[in-house]
Amino acid sequence: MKPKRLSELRALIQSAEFTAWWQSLLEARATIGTTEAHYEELLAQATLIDFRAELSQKNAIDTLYRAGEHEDTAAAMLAEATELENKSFRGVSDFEEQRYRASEAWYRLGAAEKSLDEAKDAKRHPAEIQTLERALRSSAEDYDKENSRKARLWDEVERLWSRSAEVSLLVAEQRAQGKKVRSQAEKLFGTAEERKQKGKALRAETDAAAKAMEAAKAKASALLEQARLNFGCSSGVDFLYFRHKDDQRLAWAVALVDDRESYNVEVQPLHLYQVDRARGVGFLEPARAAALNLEEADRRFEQYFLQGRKGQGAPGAA
Amino acid sequence: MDKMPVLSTSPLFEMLSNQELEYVAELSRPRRFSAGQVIFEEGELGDSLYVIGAGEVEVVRRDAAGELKVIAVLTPPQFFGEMSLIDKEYRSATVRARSDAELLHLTAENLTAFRKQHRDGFTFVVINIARVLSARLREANTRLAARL
Repeated sequence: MKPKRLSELRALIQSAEFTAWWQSLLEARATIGTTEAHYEELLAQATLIDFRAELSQKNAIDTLYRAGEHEDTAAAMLAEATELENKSFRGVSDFEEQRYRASEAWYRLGAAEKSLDEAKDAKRHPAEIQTLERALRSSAEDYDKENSRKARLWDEVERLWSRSAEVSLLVAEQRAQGKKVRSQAEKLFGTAEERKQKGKALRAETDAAAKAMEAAKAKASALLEQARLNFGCSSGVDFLYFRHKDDQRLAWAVALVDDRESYNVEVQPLHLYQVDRARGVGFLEPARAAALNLEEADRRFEQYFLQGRKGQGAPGAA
Repeated sequence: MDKMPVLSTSPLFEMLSNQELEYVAELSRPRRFSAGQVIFEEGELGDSLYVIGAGEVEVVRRDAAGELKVIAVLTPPQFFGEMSLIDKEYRSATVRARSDAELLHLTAENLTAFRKQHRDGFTFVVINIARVLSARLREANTRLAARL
């Protein structure tokens, strides 16, 4: 680091060599900004598409499971329909048997009525007629019982047929649903694959953008190194540093950034600051060549103390 | 905020040359406060002062009952916070923005840097602070005398 006076430093900053170097640095930094923004955008897109591909894959798997569930349901319903069909056959068989029993009871009832009528016509003994009347009531009860059972069995057969028909219809729909959902799953697998491919392409673009960004950063670093060699300074990121020619404890800092927030003063590009070597940019003082000359200062003190009083200023507080 | 018109009209920097004012402008940092926002509180340690560039601030203190009372309203180009800077005591009152306000902030370190570069200018800043404090003391004496 070469020691410099402020005037020398000002001359250096205004030189053609320094101006060209500064332009290159500005361009390199602008490229860093552009490539960084491009890289971040691509990275965000690639991450998003990867996430969406994963989501599509998961949805496809879930949908495939759903298709399987529909197919399982269809199979279970088909088994239920077959069982109902078998039950209905048994029900028809039971009904036929019962119909036979009910017919028998009907014939017995008719015979009992006939016997009673004949006995009454023949004016048989009242005790015999009472016996025949009891037999008629008993036959009538038997018939009612058998006929009711026949009706119940028929109702059950009809219920089984109805349920069987309903289940058979639903089996077909469940099968159709299974096919439909399986087709949806296949489409989702397709989408997931498409997104994976897009993600791969974006990753490749992101890698290229990262390389461009690194190249821009390397160029900026090289320019700072070039400044160190050509201008005899030490280079940081935000400042170039030059030794103070007249005071070993001090250094000059040339700002390379516009930063109104991070330092004790509002730092502006190419402004010169004086820094203490121990504290560095921890405290920046705007660099000045010379203070007000003593004569001018003296005159002001004379005016103030010896030539009357000025009016009182507006008071502050706290 | 254009710093120079604020600094050149502030009583704190009366009698400073343009060169000195420009240096102070470089050292000062603009700060924005929205209406009601506290700039500093009574009892805090303070090593800086503020010059009002735009808006109004109010100085408040708690009375015996513990209620906040406005004791002064300050407007551009007045300044405040200089007492703690000089006597290195805690802030004697709370100052908050009465409206949206733009201030210039100068720390003790900034003023030290100013002194290194412009010793006479710095002396005038100290004289100006003394003048303002002196004016306030006179005013307090007058009020006290009126009560006796």
